Amino acid sequence: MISTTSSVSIRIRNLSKSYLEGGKQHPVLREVNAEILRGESVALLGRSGSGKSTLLNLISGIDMPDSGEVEIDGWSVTTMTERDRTLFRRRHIGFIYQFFNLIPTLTVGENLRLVLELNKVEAEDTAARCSALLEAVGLNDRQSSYPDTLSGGEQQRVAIARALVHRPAVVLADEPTGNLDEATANDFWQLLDTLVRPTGGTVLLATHSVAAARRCDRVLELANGKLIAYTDNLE
Amino acid sequence: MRTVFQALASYLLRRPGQLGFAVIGMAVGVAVIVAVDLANESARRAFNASLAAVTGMTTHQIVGGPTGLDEELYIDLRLKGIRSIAPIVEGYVTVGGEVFQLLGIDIFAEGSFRDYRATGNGLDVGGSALGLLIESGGVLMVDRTARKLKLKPGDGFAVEVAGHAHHAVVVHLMDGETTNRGLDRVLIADIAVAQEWLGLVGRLSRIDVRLSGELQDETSVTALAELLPADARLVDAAGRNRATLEMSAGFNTSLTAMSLLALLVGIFLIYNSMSFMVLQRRPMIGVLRALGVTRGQLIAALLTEGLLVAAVGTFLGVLLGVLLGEQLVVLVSRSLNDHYFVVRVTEVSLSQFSIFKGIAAGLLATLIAVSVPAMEAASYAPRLSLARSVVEERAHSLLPWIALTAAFMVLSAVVILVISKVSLVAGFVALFLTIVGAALLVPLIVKIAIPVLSMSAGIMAGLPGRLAVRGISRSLSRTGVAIAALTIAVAEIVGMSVMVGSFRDGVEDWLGNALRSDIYVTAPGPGGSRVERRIDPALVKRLVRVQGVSHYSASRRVWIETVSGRTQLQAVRMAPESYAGFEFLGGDPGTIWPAFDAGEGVLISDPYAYRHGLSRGDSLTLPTIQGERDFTVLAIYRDYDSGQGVVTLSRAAYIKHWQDQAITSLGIYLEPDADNGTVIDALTRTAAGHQALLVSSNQEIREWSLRIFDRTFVITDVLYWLAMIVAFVGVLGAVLALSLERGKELAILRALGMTRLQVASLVAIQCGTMGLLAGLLALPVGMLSGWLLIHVINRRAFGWQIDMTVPGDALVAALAIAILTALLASLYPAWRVTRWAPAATLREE
Amino acid sequence: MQAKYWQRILAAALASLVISAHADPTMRSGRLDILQDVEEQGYRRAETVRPFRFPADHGPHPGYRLEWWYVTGNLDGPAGRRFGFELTFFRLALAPETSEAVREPQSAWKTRLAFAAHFAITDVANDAFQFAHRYSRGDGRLAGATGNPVRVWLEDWFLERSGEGWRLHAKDGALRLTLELSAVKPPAFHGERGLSRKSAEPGNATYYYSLPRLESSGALEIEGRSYAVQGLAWLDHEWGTSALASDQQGWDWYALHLSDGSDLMFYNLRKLDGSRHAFSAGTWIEPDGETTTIGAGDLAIETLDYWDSPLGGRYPSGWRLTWPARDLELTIQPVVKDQELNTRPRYWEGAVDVAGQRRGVPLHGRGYVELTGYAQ
Repeated sequence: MISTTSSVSIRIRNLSKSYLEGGKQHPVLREVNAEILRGESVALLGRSGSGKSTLLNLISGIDMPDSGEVEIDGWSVTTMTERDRTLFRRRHIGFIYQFFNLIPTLTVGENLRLVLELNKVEAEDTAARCSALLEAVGLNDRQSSYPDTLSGGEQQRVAIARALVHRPAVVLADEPTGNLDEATANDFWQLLDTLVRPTGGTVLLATHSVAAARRCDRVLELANGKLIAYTDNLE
Repeated sequence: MRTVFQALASYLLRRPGQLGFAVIGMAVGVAVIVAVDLANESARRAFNASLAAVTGMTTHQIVGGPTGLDEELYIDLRLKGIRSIAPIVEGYVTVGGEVFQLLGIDIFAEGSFRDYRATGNGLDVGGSALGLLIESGGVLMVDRTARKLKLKPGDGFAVEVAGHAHHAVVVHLMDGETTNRGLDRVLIADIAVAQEWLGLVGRLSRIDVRLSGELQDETSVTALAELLPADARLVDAAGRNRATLEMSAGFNTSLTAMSLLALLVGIFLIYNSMSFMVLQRRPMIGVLRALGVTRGQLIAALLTEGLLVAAVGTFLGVLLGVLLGEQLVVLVSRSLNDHYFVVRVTEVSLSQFSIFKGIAAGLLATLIAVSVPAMEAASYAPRLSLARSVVEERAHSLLPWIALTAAFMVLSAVVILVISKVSLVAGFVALFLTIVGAALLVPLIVKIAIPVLSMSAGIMAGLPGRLAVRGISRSLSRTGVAIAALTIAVAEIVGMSVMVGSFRDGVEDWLGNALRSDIYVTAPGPGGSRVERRIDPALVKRLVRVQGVSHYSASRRVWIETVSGRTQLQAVRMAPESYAGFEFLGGDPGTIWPAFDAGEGVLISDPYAYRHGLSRGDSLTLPTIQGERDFTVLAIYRDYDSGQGVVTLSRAAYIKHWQDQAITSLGIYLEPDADNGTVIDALTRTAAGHQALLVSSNQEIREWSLRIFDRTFVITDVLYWLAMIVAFVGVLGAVLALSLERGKELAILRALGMTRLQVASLVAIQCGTMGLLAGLLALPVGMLSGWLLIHVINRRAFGWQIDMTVPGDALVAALAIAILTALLASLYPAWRVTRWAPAATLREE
Repeated sequence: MQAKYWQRILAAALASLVISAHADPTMRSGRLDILQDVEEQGYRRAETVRPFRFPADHGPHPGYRLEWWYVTGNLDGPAGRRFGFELTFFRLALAPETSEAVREPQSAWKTRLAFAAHFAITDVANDAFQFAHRYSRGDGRLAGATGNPVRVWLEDWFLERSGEGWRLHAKDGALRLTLELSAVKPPAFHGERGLSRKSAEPGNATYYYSLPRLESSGALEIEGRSYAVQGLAWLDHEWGTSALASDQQGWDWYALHLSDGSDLMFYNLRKLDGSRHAFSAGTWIEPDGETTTIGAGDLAIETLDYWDSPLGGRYPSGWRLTWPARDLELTIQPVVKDQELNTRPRYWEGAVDVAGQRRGVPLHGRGYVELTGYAQ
């Protein structure tokens, strides 16, 4: 699926980003460097407003840095054209958000199918993959329900399914459990484990919660625009 | 309260685009109202001023037959000591291609009637008015007219009447700026000059009478009336002027109605913008309500804000309307000149009332448009205000009620139509009810249609297509209104196209049938039935002897004064082919024609029958020179020549009753082997040097008639395009609102890997679908309003009976226009969504 | 004699039909300026003595610019009611006759003649004065003048020969006068056998004669009542084209019927400084019709009183006329002070009483006086 010569999944080099606020540049990320290996699950720990989401957006190509480079599986996302970035994102990245961000006008099944349709997956294949994933998250019977008829946990499960349905190399999750109660959050972690690990996908998970960060293989802390790497899990 | 208002307002001020659309929509709606009203009003004023100047202090008029009165009547009355009378010989003349009313007066009798003097600059026109007697061909005109004709006192110029050129001399100028305001299109000459130019030697067009003060009681009116011979009648001058004005009343009402239609679309637009402004702030409103702002305070704040926006929009609308009015007035006065009377509308008179109407319409529309969403917003429980979906749920649950209202409106329209019978205003009310009713049905129909459309869009464009179409239904409170506005505008186009198309087809058929002769020879000049238009009798004899002429028909067209106003009379000398030119609406031609030829009665045109409530076998009274005579209506025939209607009788009967031998036009039939062009040349050569006659082929007359027809409807085109502009702004606003609201959704799609182009086409598909819906809905609504326009409005306003034909290409065009308008409206929003950085939106709830 | 002045009155009055009240006297309008003395070419002129032939010369004289018939008189009604009357017809050519091509058919309205008429009644008992004036085109139907039969009319007002006598009729509202008139004396010719010179320049003259003494009887309707009236009237008939140079302010005209059967006419042309113009003149007519011309220096006239018009202007009102050579002395008093016609311009034309003596023999009489140029 991904052609690469290295086992590094995400490589971030000297990444800087600032926003114009109140008439002056407000730096969010300053010369950030990081390397995340394929199959790793990494927590990006930081307080609200520390730049976690910005970093995720830069990695996925939704946003562009002021300087620096992002490489995913050897592809330099930051030097691509906007269109190529979009196509790259479409194929290789899955997103999970705190507020689920399902398309309200599409059914659960359609929310998944949309991603596959964008990737031009064959119709039979699409149906099978959707069913399989929804089965996995336990929502196969809700395929034709609209998102707003589901509970928060159910919506987040659909969101996981949507993020994985096209078998991305990288899954980016932004406070995925931030809006869930503890039990439901536990379900989430289990699903992530059972669904992502076997595919060898990389997971980068932004969170402000140390507890959540502990669930990951490794933790990177973002503070004052700088990334502090912990070699091991937080203990 | 102030803080509440500030909180609400500052939100808006940070979104000037939204505010801008509300203001623009408002302005365009108001502008159309003001412009049409100003144009109508200006034309009416110009005509009134002209009537007032020409009527002066006249209280009554003595009128006669088609060629007026014998001048001896006037002399006789004067010699009997009746002094408050003035003789008038009037007609229409052409100077440099422009039409003028020629008013022939006796300056000595004028003193107490009309005031031609100039003030301000101290110029004394009165003394110089004697120049009318001294200078052969002397005329007076207002200075403005002289400037336009590039003439100064002492200059000679040519005055053309029915193909004869006469030498005129400007003897003096009247001040047209301050006093003689209505005289822009009037030339004043001595009565002798007018008689000679107009071919009315020995005749008077009328005698003006001034019965003032205590003299104007019934007895003196009666006493004067008793002095008159059988062919003369004393009529009330004001009533006569009113009747002239009323000729164009239908035309003006129609214009006003069309402007109201534009306002209707404008109201939708205002409603859309205003309700969006409210809904967009639902989180803030929720917070404000939670903080303890009362419903009343909230409504007051929203209304104040709405009215402020309305004030700006209305102000701009009035300015725009005045500018637009100046353009429109040209079209209005041209149509009036083509069909009703000679008037030059030199300026837009800024009628306060017109402006007031525009302002009132704008503010009222806003009040309605704002109060609905304001009250809705205020009615939410504080917490609930936070959910967009609640609004939509409400909108959806309201649908059955709206549909019921719509049904009720349509039903009322039917009832009104059945009860009212002839009232034009009632006709328009019914039309409005139907259109508004249909518009109210739009959201329901959209809701029903969306699943089907979404399926087909899914097949054609996959999930993004489905996504786009479903969005329409999901935001029905917004899209429904936009679609309804577009539907109305397009329906108006469809309706007008159907009406104009059917009308044109009818006219074309009728022309084909009615124009039987190969060549027509007519005395030129303005006005179809002016008495001064006549072919010299000696020339007639020579013309019909031209090589290649087989035989001919002849007609005389004149106006006669009846008790119920002026009636157009047509006297025909029939050629064998002429008979087939009349299409009778009932009756057996086999019995009608012999009676007609024997002078046993008259034929009346369909509009005449309609206006006067006459049927076959009824009788109508016409004043002949022997006094009033009853004429049997032998038949009613189809005719599109005159909305006032025409009474047709045989030439022999006409001569017998009115002793007027003149001929207005000849219909020439050719020998089988004769060549059209050759004979036309020969006829023209024969007339050359005697009278500049119009010699036209059948084909030319037909084309010319259709050109006039088309010209008449230019103004309706203009109006419905204005309505389209309003609708366009409406759709643009709605789509913009939609894409703003849908910002997050679009951001997700971008995050999921949709390219900018894909997202933009999503917006375009959404718009296109709305356009398609509007277009599809507009077809039946348009056909229905077309039917109403033809069978109710046209009939009631102009008296014409038209068979409805469906112009297929116009329907296709309307559909295309609807879609294109919507797509055009999507360009900017589509471009905008590609500019958005989705990053920020994604983290919001 | 008064041709020039009347020309002005008439022209101005015609203009006043439609004129602005603030007429600018400097106004010019090409060649149409009839208020000015510019357009006299193309008309016939009174240059030489001519024979008069009646009744033809009672009729109009085409070719001359201005002509008028002018009847004034004093009438007695029943119960001592006394009235004065004036009925005047003017014929004014607005332009000289031309021989331009006539378009066929020609409108009967076509004319370059204008007619005006003034009608006034003085009601002595009520110290009242009423007048009316009219204008018309002289198309020969609404207004005109003919020599055979002799008739001049403006609508329903007329003056005409009736057998050997005359008839006149005028009516305005409740005022109506119908008279039969019969000349007691033959026509009296003024100036040089009817050629009345107005200045030294040849052609500045009019033809002028009077029927100085007409016995009149008829009916006068006034204020709803009808009176049988009788008395003496005076008819002036004058025509011409050009008159005086514009160095005169106006004139005072006296036409008096004296109790001894003689009649006196005199016009006092006033120069701008108020003094008498050398061409002022008059005619003395004996009971048998014999005439004597009165020269400018023959008579003395002294103003005895004045009357101020409520409309502005001060008119003389009462005179002493003395003719030393004939030992004639007359005092002339208006019977009503206000006999001013509010035409444009205004003038005073009124019935007067005369008392005096000639060669010691007491005389009395009645007459008419016309005063012009006293009011704007």
